[in-house]
Amino acid sequence: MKHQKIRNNKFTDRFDKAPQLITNGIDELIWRSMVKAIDTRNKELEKTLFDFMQSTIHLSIQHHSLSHFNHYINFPARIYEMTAKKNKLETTYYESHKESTERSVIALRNLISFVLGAVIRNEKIIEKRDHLYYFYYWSFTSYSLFFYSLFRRNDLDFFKYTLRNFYLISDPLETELQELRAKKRNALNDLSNPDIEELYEVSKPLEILRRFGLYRRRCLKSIYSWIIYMYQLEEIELKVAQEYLNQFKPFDHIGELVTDLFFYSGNELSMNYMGLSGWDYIQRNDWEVYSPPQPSEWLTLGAVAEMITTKHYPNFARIKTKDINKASGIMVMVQKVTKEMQKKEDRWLDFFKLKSETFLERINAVQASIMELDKVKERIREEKIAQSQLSDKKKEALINDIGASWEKQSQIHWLFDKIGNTQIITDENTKLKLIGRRNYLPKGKMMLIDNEYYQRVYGLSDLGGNIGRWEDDDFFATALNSVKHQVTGISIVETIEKSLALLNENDVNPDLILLSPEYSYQDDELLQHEDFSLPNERKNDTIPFLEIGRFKNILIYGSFSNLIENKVLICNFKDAFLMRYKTKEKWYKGKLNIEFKELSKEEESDKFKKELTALSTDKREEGDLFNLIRSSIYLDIWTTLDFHIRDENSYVIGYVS
Amino acid sequence: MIFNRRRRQWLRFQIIESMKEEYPDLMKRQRNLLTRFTHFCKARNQWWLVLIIVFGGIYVSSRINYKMFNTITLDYKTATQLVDQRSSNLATIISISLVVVGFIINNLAIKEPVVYKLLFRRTPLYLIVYLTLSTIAAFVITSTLRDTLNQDLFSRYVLAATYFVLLILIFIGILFRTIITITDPKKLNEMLQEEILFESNKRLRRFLVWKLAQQRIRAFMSHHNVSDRSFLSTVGIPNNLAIDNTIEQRELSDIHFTRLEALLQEDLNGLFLTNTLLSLGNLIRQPNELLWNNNSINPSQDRISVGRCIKLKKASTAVDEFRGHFDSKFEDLVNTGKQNELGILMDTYLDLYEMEMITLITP
Repeated sequence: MKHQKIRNNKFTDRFDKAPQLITNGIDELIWRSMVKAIDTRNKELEKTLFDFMQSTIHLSIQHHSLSHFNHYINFPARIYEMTAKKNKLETTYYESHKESTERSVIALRNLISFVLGAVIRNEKIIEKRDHLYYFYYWSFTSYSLFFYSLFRRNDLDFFKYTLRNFYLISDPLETELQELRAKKRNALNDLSNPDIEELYEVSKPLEILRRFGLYRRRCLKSIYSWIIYMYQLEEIELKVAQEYLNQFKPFDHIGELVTDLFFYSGNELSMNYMGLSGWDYIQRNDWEVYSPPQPSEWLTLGAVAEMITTKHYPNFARIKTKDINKASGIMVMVQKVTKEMQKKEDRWLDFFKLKSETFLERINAVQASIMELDKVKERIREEKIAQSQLSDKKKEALINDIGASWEKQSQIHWLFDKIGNTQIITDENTKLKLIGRRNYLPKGKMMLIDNEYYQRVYGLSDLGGNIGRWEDDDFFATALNSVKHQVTGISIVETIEKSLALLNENDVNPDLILLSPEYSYQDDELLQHEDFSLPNERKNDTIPFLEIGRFKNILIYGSFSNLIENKVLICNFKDAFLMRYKTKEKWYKGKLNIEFKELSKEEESDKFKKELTALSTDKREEGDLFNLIRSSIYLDIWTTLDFHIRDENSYVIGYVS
Repeated sequence: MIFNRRRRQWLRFQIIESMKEEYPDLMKRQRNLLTRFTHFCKARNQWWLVLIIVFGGIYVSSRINYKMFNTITLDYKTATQLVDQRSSNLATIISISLVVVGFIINNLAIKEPVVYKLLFRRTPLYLIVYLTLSTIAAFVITSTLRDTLNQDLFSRYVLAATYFVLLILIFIGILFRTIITITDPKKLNEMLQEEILFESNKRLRRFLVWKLAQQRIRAFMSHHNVSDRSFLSTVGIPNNLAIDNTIEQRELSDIHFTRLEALLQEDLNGLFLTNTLLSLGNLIRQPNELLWNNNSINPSQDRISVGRCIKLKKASTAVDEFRGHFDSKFEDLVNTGKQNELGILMDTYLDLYEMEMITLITP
């Protein structure tokens, strides 16, 4: 029995958790005790527990332990919720509730302003400072959560008190931050020769020290935007919204508007930054499927409201290249927000205290500033494309595409290759026709680079097809120009019969009839003629011609060339015609020259001068034009061949009147 | 030396050695050798040790002919009188002592299981009982053999047993002294704090061993191209990956990397580790289920035998008895509104926090 195997799929014994630490559960015990203290209105106990939390927090800061710090840092919001709940049930509890809340607010303020500041100031090792700044992040997250709780309970008095205390928080390392900024400015004094070493030295410390202001601002902006969002959703009335929003001082960071907008469309926000993803305005049922408020949306709403109020619009001229990918996200979000605002115009007119025309004017100004982002994005993109190297792999792929298209369309060329009446010209002095041309492709580089700016261009392969068609046209033009024997007929059948009779007289054995493809479906006389037979089932799909059938056992091909319209060419193909061509190994199939070339410096310069004059009415800056030219390429595509008439008696052209 | 060399190849030894360098304060012995030995002797299950010491000591006394030990001599007549008297003296002393101890225990300020546990741990109560019973047994046996043994031997045995009686008296003195200390709430709290810090130290070590072992195992597996499969990604796992629940779970106590490396160098493709969180301390049933050969359906004859590469032991359950006591005491004080008495407990909790923070953040 002991060894009887029991088949099951339970894997519960495989995945042990880490051994528990001795302090596991202490925080839960403290919070439970706090609930008890509040329930029993035991102020002394409450204070004792509060002091313990503060001691633990201070200890965690001292030892740089973020995990322990986070056990208790949300104390203001948690204690507030507990005491507010109690206060709601027993109004006599108000004094205790007030005392607890004020104590929490002051403790958090002091923690940020003094405790953390003192520890960070004394820490000179950059990596440890970097780690310590996360304590600021969590402290401001705690503040953010607190504001959210206060607003949710519509507790204006404590909201005002908390905000007043919040404004008292200043950056304890402000002086050091300013010194670093000055150093950076000095290093960039001479833009043509910046002090790279100095810049490198200050960049990391500066990035760290900036975070205080960043967290502080985002904490304020989040509650500010949330209030406006609640107003938009009609969860609160104008009076309530104004009461709260009037407590805010004007934001003094207009220059940061661009940074904020990029942040709102970035990934960081989607990862529950400062707990904002959890902010909601109604109680959701567990079984309900819903879409929670998106922080990117309501934060953008706050930013747009600020723009409309202050008439300050973002200037995207100096955005960093690494942020450019977020540009689309910003444009989409701002468009969405402004459209929503326009739908509820009356509500917003009251909010902003503006007339309709002014409101629309400002909305348009917001949209215009965001559109500018598109241009900047394009500008950066072109610059990057212009600076990129061409990729051999991409070139080869494109050459193959164009070549394949040429092969499909070059009917006459194929015929010559099949029949074999061709001649390779090796003599450099013998000049043949170049059938094709040089194409100038503005921004063409983007299809030949191998980076994130690569963009496929559709339709380019048609250029190969054009070469094929031009070859066909050239052939027919040659045949028509040198024709000796012509016949006319009122129908295609009559014309063919007359042509065949003429060739017969000249002892020519015709093996090919070329005519327009429309005869394959329009001319019943031909199709029903006793001498006409439809083609056998096509086995080889690589034939570029449309095989119409046979007339008196002579093969009929349909050619798409315009020059054969209302005409028919009947011949002994090999005897009548010769194709001479040049070949090079690097050409496609040794015949089609396809070459991508970047513009030389002289060509760029000439083009630039020409285009600048031509586009004198365009507001585009010279830099943009230069980028456009630098991102352009030439595409040389041609075959080097011509067609000869070997024997003018071996072919006849019939004209169908 | 060979023993040490062999030990070095095991993962636990390597981790402990590295912990001694990285966490010297944590790894410092909290109790010296003597204290640990006395704790060992005082434990409940060490009756056999006491028995060996008593009988061994009495036997050895007849073999040692050293001038210092020959100072006190007993003649045969005195010894025959003493042998009977001492056993009854001893029985009387121990019964009175136990009655007194029982009375004191009944009147302890804190009557909780953890305090009793502390009492038995800190006092030589078990030792005294076993020592007394062993000595009485020695006297009875010696008395029975008085006509069998030669007179000199008999006298020496009685003398040796008498020495043990003196030892018992000393231990009884220590017992009373310790119990009286425990009746003082302040001293008791100090002892409890000491115990919880000791418990915390053990917990932290266990955690660090687990964490460091996990890192090393992952690095080792990665280096040998053994892929990692979490439970959720093992969809379509073969049916014969079954666990025999009749096999007792045992704790993974150690891993021999050199042997494991030799095993992995055999021609096996696409191995994967079924437990991504594998570390020392994990509970496993079937060691051969740990590593799977990707390509085969892993019938029993193909299962990778890791038996020689690991050590398993009976699953140990670490219980925080003293932490549990502190928590329940805390809750009681909170419920009864005696916040003034919370200070000591809170200080203890802060000490625990600090110990954890220093250990886990420093490296």
